[in-house]
Amino acid sequence: MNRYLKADFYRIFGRVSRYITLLILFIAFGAFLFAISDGATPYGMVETLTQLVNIAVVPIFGLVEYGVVYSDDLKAKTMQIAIGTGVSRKKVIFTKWLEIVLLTALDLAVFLGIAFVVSMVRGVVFSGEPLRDVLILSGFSLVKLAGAAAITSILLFSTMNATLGMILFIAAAFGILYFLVSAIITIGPLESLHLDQYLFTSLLEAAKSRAVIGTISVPHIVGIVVYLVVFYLIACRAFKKVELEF
Amino acid sequence: MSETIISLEHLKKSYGKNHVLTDVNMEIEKGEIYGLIGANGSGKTTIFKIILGLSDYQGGTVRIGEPGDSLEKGRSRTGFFVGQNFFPYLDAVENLKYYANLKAVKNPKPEIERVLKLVGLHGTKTAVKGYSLGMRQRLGIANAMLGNPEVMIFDEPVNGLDPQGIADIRNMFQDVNKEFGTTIIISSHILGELQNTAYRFAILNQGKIVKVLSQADLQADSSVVRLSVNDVAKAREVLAREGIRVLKEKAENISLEDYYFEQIGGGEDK
Repeated sequence: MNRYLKADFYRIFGRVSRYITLLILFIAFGAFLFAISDGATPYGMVETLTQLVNIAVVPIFGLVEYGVVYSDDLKAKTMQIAIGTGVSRKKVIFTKWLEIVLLTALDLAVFLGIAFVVSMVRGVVFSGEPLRDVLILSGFSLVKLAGAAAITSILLFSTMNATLGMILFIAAAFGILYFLVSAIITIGPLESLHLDQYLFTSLLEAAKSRAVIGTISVPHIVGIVVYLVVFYLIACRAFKKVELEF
Repeated sequence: MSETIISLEHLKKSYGKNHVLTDVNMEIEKGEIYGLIGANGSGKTTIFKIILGLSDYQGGTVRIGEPGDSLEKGRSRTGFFVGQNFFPYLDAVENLKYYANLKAVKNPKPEIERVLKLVGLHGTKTAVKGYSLGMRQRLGIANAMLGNPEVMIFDEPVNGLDPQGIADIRNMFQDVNKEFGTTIIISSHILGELQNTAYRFAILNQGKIVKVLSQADLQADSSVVRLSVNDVAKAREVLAREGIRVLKEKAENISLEDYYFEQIGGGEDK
């Protein structure tokens, strides 16, 4: 797996168009934060920043990295070379998922650095509890993205179609999928079962709200991990029989 | 005793009701150049895809590498050319650097230079999107040789190459085979070229290997006689009657192409 990760990072970090896209996004988000943070208090700034990270920054950066990780690879069919030279299909799926998470985490770290500078310019210095809250909430946004990437890999690896995968990724990362599934499981007799509390996003929100008050909710975290593992196993099963073209 | 490096036993593969491989048995020995011959749709590419893990199969067994090796381990000793799998915005060196990372090649820089020199692409700086078909073909072959793998698989490697390019690639295969003992498996429609390159041949027809023969077998099966006559225009007419003055008579070895058509029952009558 390491050699595949290394090869892909060599390619991705050499992609000039990726840097241009990221630069535009960093400037846009930084400017937006600057514009809306006039006169903000540390806690107000935490609220604004974490909302921005959760709703826009992580999903949008995730989408960019998703495209970079999958689109070129599927077009050039380099995944076939990886498999043909001994990288197992299971490792291909896991490596691609890991790449999206790591690259988005890196983008998030750069953005948070920019956000802290913007905050300082606005006279807000993050330290202590506000800083901890920003880091915890940003971390949970990243876990949400990891879930979106994992569920998307089922569709992508069963169809080998980057566009279809990207559509599902957008639906999952921006909360549309959660909204749709929540609506379905509250139809008629299903409503009384309160299944919505077992959805990935619900578990994540529950774990996040406990983390903010300083407690770790083991059942919710276990539930999140189970979701990720199940998504991965389904993707492996779906990909196992897929015929790959030269 | 020769050692088998790739073994396929009773391999079966279907696409729906289309049975592409019905019962393929193949043993490729370490250090040989093995030619796989068959018409379009006979299953050559499917066999390669199964060996490389790109296609599932319904029955039979596949072994690559040493006995006891996992398929992944066996495949990690393999280099292959089956298409032009490159990032168009990268140049030849950058593309090969990607693959050198993927194949965990030690000292990638001199190795990349070595393989690019072998295929005549050394010093090319343009992105792959500007390459001709022949250049892409050469880069694909360079990629297959990257890291000096024990086994190399080539699907139609000389398509799109000019005669000089074909001769260069043939010499290169033979040099690599002799110098490093590399096992090379080639499928090609250019049977004359394959005859000049491979040591053994397998003929694939209707989902089965119908014949495996060596160069020596091919020469021993000679049955063609060429006659040189004094009047070519009237040759057919005169052959029907007596009284032809035969100037030269020479027994020749059957060509691989003729042998192939004889085996599958097609081709032109001789």
